[in-house]
Amino acid sequence: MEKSRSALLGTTLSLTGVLLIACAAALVARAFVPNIILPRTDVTLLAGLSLAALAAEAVIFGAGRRSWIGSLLVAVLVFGLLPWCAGLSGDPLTAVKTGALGGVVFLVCETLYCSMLDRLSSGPVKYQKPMAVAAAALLWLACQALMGVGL
Amino acid sequence: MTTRSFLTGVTAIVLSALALFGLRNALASTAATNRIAEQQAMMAALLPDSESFTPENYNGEDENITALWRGETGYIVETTVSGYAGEIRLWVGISDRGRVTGLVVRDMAETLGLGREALTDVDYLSQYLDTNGNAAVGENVDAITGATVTSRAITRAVNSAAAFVTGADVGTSATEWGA
Repeated sequence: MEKSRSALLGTTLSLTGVLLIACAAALVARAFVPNIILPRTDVTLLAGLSLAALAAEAVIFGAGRRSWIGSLLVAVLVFGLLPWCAGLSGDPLTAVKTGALGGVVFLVCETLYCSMLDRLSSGPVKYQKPMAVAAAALLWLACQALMGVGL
Repeated sequence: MTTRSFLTGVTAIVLSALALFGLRNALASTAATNRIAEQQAMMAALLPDSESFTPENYNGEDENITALWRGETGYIVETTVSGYAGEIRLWVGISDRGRVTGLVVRDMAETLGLGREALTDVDYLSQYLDTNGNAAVGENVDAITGATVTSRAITRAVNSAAAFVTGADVGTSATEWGA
C-alpha cells in the first residue's frame, strides 16, 4: 500500500510538472505571439503530455507498482484544473470534459507504457532510462493516428 | 508517510494551479494589447489602402462566413470550413470590386507536413490572389501535394468570402469534400 502511495506521488508530481510547463508555455506564447496556432485539445495532445509525464516519472522516480485508480483520479483532476486555471479550456464544462478525457487517455497510456517498461526491464540496467524515453516517444508516434479525435 | 505523500501531491497541484492563475492575470493586459495590434497589422496587410476596420454583423445565409470587418477599400471576411482534421479558419481580404487581395490561415489542425503547409506555402496561397469567387482546384488552383482535401476546403472558404461581395451563388456546404 505504501509503495502504491509513493508511486502515486511520483505520478502526481510528474504530471503536474509537465502540465504546469505546458500551460505556462501556452500562456506566454499567446501573450507575445498572438497569431500562434496552438495544438488543439485532442487525444494526440493529451497522450503526448501523459507520455511525457510518464517518461519523466520513470527517469526521475524509477519504475514501481502502480495505483491505477489513483492515477486516473489524479489525471482527471490535473487535466481538468490546470488548463482551466490558465484560462486555456474556456468554460467549466469544457474543463470537466478535458479532465475526463485526459484521465482516460492517461490511464490507457499508463497501461501501455508500463507494459512496455515491464518487457524492457529484463535488459541491461544502463539502458533502462534511455529506453523509457524511447518507449514513450514510440507510443506517442502511434497516437498520431488519433489526431483530431477529442473535444 | 502516506499522509505526507498525499499532502505533498495536493500541495503541488494547488500551487501549480495558483501559479498558472497568477501568470494568466499577469499576462492578460499584454496579451490583449498584442492581440489587437497583431489583428490590426494583419488586416492592413490583407486589405492594402485600408487603415481602419469596423466589425459588422453578417446576416446572410452562407454558413462558412463567421465574422466580418469593413475597411475603407473592402472587407475582411472570416470564413470557417471543415478540413481534413477539423475546422480551418481563414481571414480573406476582398476589395470592393470582389477581388481577393490577401488571405491568411488563422487556425487549423491539419496534418503536419501535408495540410499544414497551407500556413506557409506562399506559392499555393498566392494562387488565390485576384480571384473573384472562381477559384477551383485542378483548374486555376494547384492543390498542395498530398493535401487535396485541405486545398479544396480553403478554396471553398476563399470563394465564400469573395461571393459575399460579388453576390455570386457559391456552394456553402462546409462538410462536403468535393470542390
